[in-house]
Amino acid sequence: MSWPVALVFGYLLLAIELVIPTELRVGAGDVAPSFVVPFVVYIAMFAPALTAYWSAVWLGLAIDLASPRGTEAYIIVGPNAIGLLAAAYVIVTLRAVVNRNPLALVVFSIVAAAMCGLVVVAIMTLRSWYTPQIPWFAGVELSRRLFSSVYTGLSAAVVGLALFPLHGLFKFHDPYHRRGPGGGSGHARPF
Amino acid sequence: MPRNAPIQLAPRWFGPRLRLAFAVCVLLVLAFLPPRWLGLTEWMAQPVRLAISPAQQKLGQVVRWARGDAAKEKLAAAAAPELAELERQRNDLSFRLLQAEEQIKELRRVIAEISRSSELSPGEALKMVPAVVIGGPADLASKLLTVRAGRAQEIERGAVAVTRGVHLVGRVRSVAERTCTILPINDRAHEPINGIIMLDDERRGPGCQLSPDGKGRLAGRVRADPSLRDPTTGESEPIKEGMKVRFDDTDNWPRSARMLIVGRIIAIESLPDQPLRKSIVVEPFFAPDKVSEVTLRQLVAEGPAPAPKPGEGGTP
Repeated sequence: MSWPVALVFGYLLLAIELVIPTELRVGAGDVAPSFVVPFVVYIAMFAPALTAYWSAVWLGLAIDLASPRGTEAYIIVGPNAIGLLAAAYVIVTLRAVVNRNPLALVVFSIVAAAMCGLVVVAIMTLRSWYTPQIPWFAGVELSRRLFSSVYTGLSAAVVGLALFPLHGLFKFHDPYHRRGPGGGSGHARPF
Repeated sequence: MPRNAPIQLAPRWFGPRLRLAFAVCVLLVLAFLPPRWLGLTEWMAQPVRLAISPAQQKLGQVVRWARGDAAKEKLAAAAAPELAELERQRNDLSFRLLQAEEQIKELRRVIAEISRSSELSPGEALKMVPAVVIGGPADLASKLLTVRAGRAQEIERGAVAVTRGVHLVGRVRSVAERTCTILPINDRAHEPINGIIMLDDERRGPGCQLSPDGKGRLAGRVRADPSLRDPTTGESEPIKEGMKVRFDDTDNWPRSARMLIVGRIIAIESLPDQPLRKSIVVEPFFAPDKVSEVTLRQLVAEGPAPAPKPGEGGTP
């Protein structure tokens, strides 16, 4: 995978993640879509497993570092990084059995966002036992994140429309494509 | 070693999978760091915030433009510029009047203290710093706002953030070199605040304690105030929807924050166990997560008068 291209897209989608979900919130519970999760899923669908895991860790780390929490504006490093890593692991496991197309990106994004939400809620709930400065309502957060994961399906459709035509830019090496003696492109085909 | 072999930075036994496992262990440790060590993670966040803030701020401006906020304001100002200006002046004067009354009360208290030979508090001046809002956090579990003003602008922790001059937004909780983080009053993490219900623009009604309700509003009980009862009928003036609630917390906030506008009452309910007592829901006039600019107000202790520069002023 081309890391500079992934970095540019990651930067843009992180900026979008910081602004657009607030505008697209539904209801009083702050149910909002994610734009970074579909990107992590997109990479996990096509890149080698380790590349997908590291991408998830870096993007999750960026989200954690851009999320001050609680009365003291604490920066908690880890919940989203580990959450997205778990999501990428699930997608890498599932990608072999599903045709990799924009519809799969939508379905995978819902699964990945739910997985990431579960991990974040688990970590933050454990933390809340000894960090009273960060008020945490596990039930409310879990339901918000699960509804948000369904909403992320919609954002994944939009992100997919932008990413799939630009597939060549990422120069993915298909983990399931074996080079023959005569060589080959080595690039995964999206459809 | 072959000429084209990649440079080996890590030992051979520390392979890619082991490196990932090591990173996960580090992340797990960082995720569960005790609160007193969380200052360590703050320095990691600064470069990310600095890198992402230009894109976030530009995108925020585009969104506000698309939402039509700027257009609506321009349209309102163009349609009735005198009316908009008069409204702004009225809000400002009303705030100043109420604050002057509070200062009179405070001065009376200070005079009483002097008469008891107590120590006079040092003089205080107010510093106002306008700051552009960069945006909120990536994780919507929190509503903390990052604004473009920090230590470089001499902002300190505890400064009060307002919008449109008199509408309370929140308080500065952490300060970096060029940015600071504001905890809005309607964030779940915010401690309860004391407010005062205004029966009209000048008459104060009962007090109330408001806590964030998790939906961007504040809710709480109205305090019974026997002094507000009519001596003839024994009844106090009822509170109504639409009444303004002003800030009246002196425990942990600077005095300059008193009488800033918190919001308007949007719902009144009787308490189930005490039907004569009421609870209210207050909505800020300007949702803190949608404001584009704030003014940071902070008290600065007045030092000794600056010495005149050589060749400037002075008695002949």
